[in-house]
Amino acid sequence: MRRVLGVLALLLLVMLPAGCYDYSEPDEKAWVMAMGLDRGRQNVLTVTAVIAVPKNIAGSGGGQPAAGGGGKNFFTVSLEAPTLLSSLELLNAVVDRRADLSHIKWFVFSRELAEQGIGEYLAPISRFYQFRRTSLMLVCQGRAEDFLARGLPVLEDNAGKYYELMHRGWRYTEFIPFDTFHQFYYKSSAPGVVPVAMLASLERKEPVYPDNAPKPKGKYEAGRIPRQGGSSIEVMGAAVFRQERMVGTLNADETGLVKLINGTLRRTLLDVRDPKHPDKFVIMEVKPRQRPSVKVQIAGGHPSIEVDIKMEGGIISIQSGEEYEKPGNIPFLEDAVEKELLEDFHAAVAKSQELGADFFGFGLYAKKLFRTWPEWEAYNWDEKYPMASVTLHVDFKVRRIGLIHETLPQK
Amino acid sequence: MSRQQPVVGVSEAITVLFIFISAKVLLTHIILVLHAGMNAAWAIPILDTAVALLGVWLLVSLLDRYSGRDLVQIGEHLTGPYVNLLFSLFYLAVFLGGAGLALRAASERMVAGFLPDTPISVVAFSFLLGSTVVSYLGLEAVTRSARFLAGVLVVSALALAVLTVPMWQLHVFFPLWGAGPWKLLLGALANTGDFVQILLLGLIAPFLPASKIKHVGVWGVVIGGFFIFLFILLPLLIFTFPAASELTLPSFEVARIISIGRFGQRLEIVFMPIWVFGNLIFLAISLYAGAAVLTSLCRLNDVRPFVLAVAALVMTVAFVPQNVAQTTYWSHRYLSQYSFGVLVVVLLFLHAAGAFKKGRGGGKQ
Repeated sequence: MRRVLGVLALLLLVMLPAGCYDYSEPDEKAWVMAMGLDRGRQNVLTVTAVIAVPKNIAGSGGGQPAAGGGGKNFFTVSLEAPTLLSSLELLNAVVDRRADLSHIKWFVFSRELAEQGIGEYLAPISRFYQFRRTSLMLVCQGRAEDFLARGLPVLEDNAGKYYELMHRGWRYTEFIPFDTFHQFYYKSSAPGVVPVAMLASLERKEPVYPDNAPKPKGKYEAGRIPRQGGSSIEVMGAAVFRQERMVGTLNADETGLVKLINGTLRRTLLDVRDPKHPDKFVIMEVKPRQRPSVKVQIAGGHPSIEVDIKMEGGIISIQSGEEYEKPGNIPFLEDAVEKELLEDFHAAVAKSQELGADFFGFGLYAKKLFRTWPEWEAYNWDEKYPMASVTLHVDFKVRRIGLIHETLPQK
Repeated sequence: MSRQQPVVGVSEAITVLFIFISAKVLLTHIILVLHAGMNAAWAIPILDTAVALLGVWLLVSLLDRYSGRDLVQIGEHLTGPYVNLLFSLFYLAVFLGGAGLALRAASERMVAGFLPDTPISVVAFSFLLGSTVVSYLGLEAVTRSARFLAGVLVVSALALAVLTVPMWQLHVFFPLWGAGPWKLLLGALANTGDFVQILLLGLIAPFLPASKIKHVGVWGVVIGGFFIFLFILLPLLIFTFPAASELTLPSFEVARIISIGRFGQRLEIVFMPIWVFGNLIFLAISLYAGAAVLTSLCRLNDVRPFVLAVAALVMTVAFVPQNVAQTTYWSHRYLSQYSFGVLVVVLLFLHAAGAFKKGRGGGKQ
């Protein structure tokens, strides 16, 4: 009898931690999918929370489909609060379920706030147990509260999936940075590299450009994409940070080059000016052949950086109808792609040196030249980088020519 | 020790020793070696493993000379009851202090990561209850539980490492010398206490095959050292230096960062057995070892009357620190830093006493 009582007492104890105190039903939680931070109007911050409505995501039962992308699958609440996490408690004043950040996907900072500095918000986020470093950091043009409230998914029922898939484009585009909060956070504290965040915006209604002169798509960035229709949100390019403050933006091509040097670019489509018909484009699929080789030397205290990029790709389209697919003409295209990449790269390097922000992370290669960490820190890479000489070699090979092996003249 | 003489197999003994040594990777204070080694802190456990092997050699040579006795009995034989009492208090401090601080740290970790609304006392009591039951059942139960769960622990730990490979940043190895060769060496010497748990070998030696004590000591230290090395290297590779140095729960954060597509996320629950079983085994070993020291000291044969008393002491120690930060720094300062040096002094003293006694012709072996 004593043994039975003992076993029963043990079972009761086992149930205590699992069931009594931390009892928590998923359908009693308000799952916050995204949070936006703006400079406050009536307090320090305006914090916007996007909260999922699970019953609409899952369907209403009885075989009824989910509500679709009509915006009823989540709602937003904007609160004026002194800090980011105090708003989490404030949320419970207006939401019946307990707010929980465990499934958060996006942290959106308004550009205004990002330019003021976001360091004071990063550390609390990484300390709070509900938060995950796999979440994403975004900077939006305009106010984050408008961005999140109007950013309705079109194809998805689930706002969380929508936010994740918007970032998933990093795999097949050049213009969406790979970096999550994790990379952003460690790059914020590591010498030799600065962090970048996804750049996003609401759709711009007024025209961006005054004429229809040719403009490669790589020159676009979020908030400057000429378009009509689609989701209200657009993500393209990156926001560059230095010392916890946003100091500039990268367009699509520049973002792609950062990914190329970091080894996270998988493929992209490049609009290359036709070498024989400058008003036309040849569209090329470009992808890295191997990881870029970056060599840094320091002579006389100044760094010189040599980057060797090897890429390959295929012809997607030739607007002019020129027969570039013939073996003898392929080198023309290869040269054109190399020239295009070199121009873009030199412009991006010039921008990084002008901003004093090594978003390529060349400093991570320079570290190898130092024996100890204190020596590396004392060198002060951030100060030296703007004076660095950067040399780039690009080697591009056309491997494929698509499904047409010779171009017939059009009648 | 217990009513029947326990028999411990070689693989059980190795398992129990390496888990006892390396269980600290599940807690915070291990990451404090990053202050000493910076980005090359991964080298510290390698150096410390070499130092610990020297400690094993000192210990095993003593145990071999006085075969069939544990360290407490050897101490009493060589130095008499009063000096040996001091040594035994040191052993107790290592086992009870280590267990108390580990209990607090592990419970705080559960509260921080999984059970935020559960009182810390309930979590700590649950941990202690499980480990007390195992240690009450004796050394065989402790070692066999450890051996039984070792597969889960090792496979989970290695899986954790493999799943984070895409996040590794190899540039973290540079600058190669980290804080500098001299500071690295000093850092390694200052953190030798991470291997003070070799002391356990001194208590279980009488139950091991006499010819295998060295084998158990060497492999226990090498495998334990490997896991300490791995769990210092992993946060460095993933979070890089200096960001890794601010993590409270490095192994937990390593599990949380795993992301394999949309569905391969939030895997820390899968790795919970590492933390729960690892800490439970550590506590069970500590309780047994603490009780074994008291048993030897009182010249009794059964550890069981002391297990509950030791458990109560461990619970008391656990709540001496006022907060988790104090727990971490105490663990680092008093166990990871100085304890191994004290152990070496004790062992050298016992060797010297043995040599002195032998010289006077009184060295009965």
